[in-house]
Amino acid sequence: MISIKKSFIVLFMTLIFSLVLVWFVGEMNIPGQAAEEVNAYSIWPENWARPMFEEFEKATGIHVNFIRFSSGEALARVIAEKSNPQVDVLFGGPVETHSAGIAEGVFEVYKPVTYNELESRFKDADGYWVGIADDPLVFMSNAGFLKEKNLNPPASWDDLLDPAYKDMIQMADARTSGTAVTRIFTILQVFDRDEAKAFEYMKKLRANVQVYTKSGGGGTIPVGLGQAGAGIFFIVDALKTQQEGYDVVVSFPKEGIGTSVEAIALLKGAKNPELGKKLIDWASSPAMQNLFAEYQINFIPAHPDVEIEPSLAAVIEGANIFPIDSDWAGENRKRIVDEWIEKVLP
Amino acid sequence: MEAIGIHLNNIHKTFLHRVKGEVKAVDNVNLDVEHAKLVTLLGPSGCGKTTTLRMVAGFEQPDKGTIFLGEENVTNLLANKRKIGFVFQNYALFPHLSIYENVAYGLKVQKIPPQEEKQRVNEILAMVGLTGYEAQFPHQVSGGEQQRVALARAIVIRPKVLLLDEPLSNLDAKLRVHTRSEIRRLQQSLNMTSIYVTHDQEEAMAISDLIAIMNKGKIIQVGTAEELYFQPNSEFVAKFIGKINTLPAEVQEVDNGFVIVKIFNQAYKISRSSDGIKPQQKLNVFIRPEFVQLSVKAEEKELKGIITERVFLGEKVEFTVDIYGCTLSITSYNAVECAKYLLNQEVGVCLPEKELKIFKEKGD
Amino acid sequence: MPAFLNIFKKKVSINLPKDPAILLSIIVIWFFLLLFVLFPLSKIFILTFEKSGHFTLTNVLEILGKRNHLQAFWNSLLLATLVGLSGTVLGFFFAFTSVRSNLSKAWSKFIDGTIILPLISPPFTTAIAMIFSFGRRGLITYNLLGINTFNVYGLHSVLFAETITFFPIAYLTLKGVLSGIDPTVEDMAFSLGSSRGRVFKTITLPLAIPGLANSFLLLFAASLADFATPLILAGSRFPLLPTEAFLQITGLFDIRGGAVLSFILLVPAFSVFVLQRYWVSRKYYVTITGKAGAQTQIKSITSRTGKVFLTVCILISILILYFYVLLFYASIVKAFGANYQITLKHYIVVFTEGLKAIKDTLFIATIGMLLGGVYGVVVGYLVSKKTFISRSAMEIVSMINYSLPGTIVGIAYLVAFNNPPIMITGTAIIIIACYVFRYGATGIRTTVAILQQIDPSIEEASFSLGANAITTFKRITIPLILPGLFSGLGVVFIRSMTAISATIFLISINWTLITVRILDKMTELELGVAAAFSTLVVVIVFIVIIFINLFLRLFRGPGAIDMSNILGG
Repeated sequence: MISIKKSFIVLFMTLIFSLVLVWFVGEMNIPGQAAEEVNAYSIWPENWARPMFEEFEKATGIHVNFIRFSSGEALARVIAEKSNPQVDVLFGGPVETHSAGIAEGVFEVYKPVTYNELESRFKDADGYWVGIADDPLVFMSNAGFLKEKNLNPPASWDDLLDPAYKDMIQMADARTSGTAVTRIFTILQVFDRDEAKAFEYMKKLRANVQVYTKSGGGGTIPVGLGQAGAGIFFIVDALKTQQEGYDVVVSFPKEGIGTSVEAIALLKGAKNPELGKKLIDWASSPAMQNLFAEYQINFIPAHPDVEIEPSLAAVIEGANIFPIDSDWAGENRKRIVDEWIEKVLP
Repeated sequence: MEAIGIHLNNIHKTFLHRVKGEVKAVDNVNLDVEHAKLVTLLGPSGCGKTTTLRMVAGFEQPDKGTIFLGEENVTNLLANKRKIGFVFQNYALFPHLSIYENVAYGLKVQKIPPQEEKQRVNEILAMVGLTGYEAQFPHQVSGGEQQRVALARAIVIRPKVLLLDEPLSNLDAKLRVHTRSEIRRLQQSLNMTSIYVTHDQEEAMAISDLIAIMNKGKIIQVGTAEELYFQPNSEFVAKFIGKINTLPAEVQEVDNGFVIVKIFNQAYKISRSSDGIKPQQKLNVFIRPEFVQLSVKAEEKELKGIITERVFLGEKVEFTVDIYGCTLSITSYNAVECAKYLLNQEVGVCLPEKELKIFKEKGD
Repeated sequence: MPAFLNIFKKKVSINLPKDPAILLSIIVIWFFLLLFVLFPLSKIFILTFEKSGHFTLTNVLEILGKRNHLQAFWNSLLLATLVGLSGTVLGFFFAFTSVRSNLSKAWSKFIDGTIILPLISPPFTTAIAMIFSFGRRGLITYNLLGINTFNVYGLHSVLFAETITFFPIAYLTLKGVLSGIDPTVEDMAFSLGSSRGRVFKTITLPLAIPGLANSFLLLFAASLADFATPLILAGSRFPLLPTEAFLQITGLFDIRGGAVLSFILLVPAFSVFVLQRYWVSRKYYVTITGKAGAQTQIKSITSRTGKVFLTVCILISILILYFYVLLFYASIVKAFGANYQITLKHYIVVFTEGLKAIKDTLFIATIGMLLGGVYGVVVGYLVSKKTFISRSAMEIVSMINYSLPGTIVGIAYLVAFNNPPIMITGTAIIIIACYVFRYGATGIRTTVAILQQIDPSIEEASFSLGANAITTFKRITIPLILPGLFSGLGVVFIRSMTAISATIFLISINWTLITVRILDKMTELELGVAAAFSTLVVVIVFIVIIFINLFLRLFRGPGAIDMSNILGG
């Protein structure tokens, strides 16, 4: 059975295999050689988190390993890993997520250097989290769709109930997305916490919903492309769509719309707590937030010393934006989301 | 080569049958095979002969009893340590190895140096007449050739004993006859103690030093071909080896050294021990076809019959005679005599007393 | 061994193998099976049925009490049944055409090649392609047909996508069955005066029934377990169990709820497993004789009908091919639906940002493949050749992780290995273990199938010549089952490259997978990058398949068994 041809092939394959093996081994991190590393789950999309982390590394020499999860997934992960935390920091994400996490006991108290400089809205009284940005919700509609249907950009929550929007609205699924949770609590606030009325509204709205997306910004491109007519998104996602060149319009309801603080927290039992703290220090300070404008990240900075980028300021000028009571939201998150799943989703 | 005998002592083996429940496949088998002898286990399907052979090989474990190869008790020894050569019914050649490699396999396992290996393989291939076939693969050669490869492979390792499991059953008749002589020749020239399993009685008689007839897990009788043919110890053996006629009889008188029976309307005196046979007892009497004699006219002491069939086979003629409703087979090798007897003829049938047999045991 | 002895079973007693190597292997295998199959599953059981220390059904009732979940359960059964039916019919149609209508070799290869694509692709490919084609701004609905109101989300889309994805399983199964039916049987019916339709109804179809039943069950199980396609296409109005379980855990951080949901999924999945093993496989009337593709003067369909059938098959194959072309196209344009400028931007992202995922996936797939291959061969050998106490149990347990929906396995591993005593979440080990004990089972099945075709006396011959178990295994068994080994390796590698439903729960900061990145990118609506990743996986998998085929052809020694089907479900 030993033939020249076959032995050549075997030799060739072995060669390839060993090359591959060598490559693998070579690429593996040899401990002790790498720069300092800190691990984080980022709720911010990669396109924003990555540049921020790269800047952090430039500034401090600390490398950030991260995976991106939507807020629901991130929280689930962190809770599941409670006895053996895989990361040090939970980076970004609407603050209801962090509030819910406090109840589960996954965070460690840490007040960064900037703690006293921040408004009370942008920090947890006990020090479990601090805010790194503010992120109002907005209505975003497709200009072409509006023209077609002869509509003005929606200026009230009731506008969205218009039959013209049937099957043309995309918004986030509360099971996985913080955007959705913020949206639901906003609606509750608009109805003065009358849950019966709020849920009735949401049920009516459901009729016009094409699909509930997994992530908060999941509906932006469909709206941008005209696959959907309108949606409710965080301003960061909406303005990004606009900046990419899609023909969309941002508007605000007169009854008011909520804004959610983007927070950061240190995990209890983190393997690199000191490095995590440094990340928190940096993120909650002008050092990071001054970079928003540069990278076209349309968050409103949390730190008072950072100026809002002018075009962003123009967008929110005159809008009725109110803060969400994050403590109340945190306490009732599970219950409200469960109710939403039960009553609104089907 | 040292003198190796095979000794089976009180071997028992039970299997669990899906329908029948517990079945005793081998029931208290005792067998001694002398050095350099070939003993055949002969019997019908299901008699336990293959199971017994496989236990000698080590492929099955006996429930009770011991197996000795020479002085060594191998009952609990693994099959691959027993130094046996086994020839399978379906040859079991390794399909991915050439004939040379098949034969050399056992030598390679023993780590025989290449020079010696080559020499021995070539030698054995010559012995079985397969020189030149080294590079062929099993599927490229005929059944008979495959059989010889299997044989060569088993022998080349110089096993203590050679075990053959119906090695010829997949060959056509003519080849079978030719090959069985080859096997016998080889076995004798190498002085290899062997156990051979077959259901073909002619094959067994042709090549064995001793034949052990088995039925339902038991050894019924052991003996040479002649012994089994002329002195079967039971109805089963008598019927299995050669042909035999069965006649209904009634015992008239029993005395020391003989028994008088009445078959139809004739009395016959058979010398044998009384053995618990009682007068008025109904039993069967047996006689081989070649010992029954015909006469043109029924004499005094003869039975009357009619020839219902007459088959001319060259060197012999086979008659079927109907006697009072009973069928008798008669074989005659005397051409002149046979010419006298034709189909539908009334004849006299003579049963020589010394050829009549009564068996105490049925054996089945 | 003479055939009649097969009716005997070994006497039931403590039957331990004498050969120490065998005994050791058995112990080791059991250890791993207990650790990686039974232990995680038991955790699911505990989570489902335990509350504050005692047995209870409240967890289950609570979960089923939610309307959404109950709906998901019925939806899953409904979808699975529909997919089973449509997939089997389509597969039968293809198989019948392929076997009975005298296809030219070129067409045969074309069809075989294209319909294999969905089976070996990363998840979501069909879903992505469908959104691109049938969404509101889809290529087909909007650009081609001008339809504005078609809703691409829902049962119909999932049904379509899953049928297209899974019908190749039915095709492969039924192809084997149909080519096993001796065409002379049908010829004989013709010569007795039956019409073609009658022959089909009274001869071909009845003989194919076990194969049809088997296909239905296979497809039913595949659809039940499918996580990826529904995640994208089902929409919010059509919940399904695997996605619900996933969302329950990842969205609502309710691990217990997720465990209960996946347990509910276990019930139909287990029924399918039992039905298949104990009912369908017993009723196969037709054995594969190895004379596959015996083509007589096929009279079973007229040449005109044959041409029609062929055209339909080709059209469907083209549809599938179109999906992949679309996928590739989407990966090289700037923004599908808006900007059709050609760019390599997405691939650059794949090879920079995505490099870690690529390396991790390849590393895990390779190790998984090697371990899985060995595992498959060893267990297959033990289970089919050696009799020992607990043999049937080992056979069944080794198939468990493979038969269950990936979601269950993933959740089970997450729950089992996240706390002491064994904490391996966050490592590559947990992902590799998941693959080995899930996909290694195909290797077991293939090995068993091959070994069944090898006469046991060949091994006995080796023993009689003095070789011990290990040498026999090395010199005799392995070379004969090498084709099976290779296809087993290939399957594990391919499945590892394309798996998601189990491993989405097992990725971590240290180890991530391409399939998960695809999902991420889809979620973040970077569809171009998602398409680029998908294309990359398809290319890698295709290369591996070509290699395996090459290997098989080269190393298939004379007398070795023909492996015509490397995917085997």
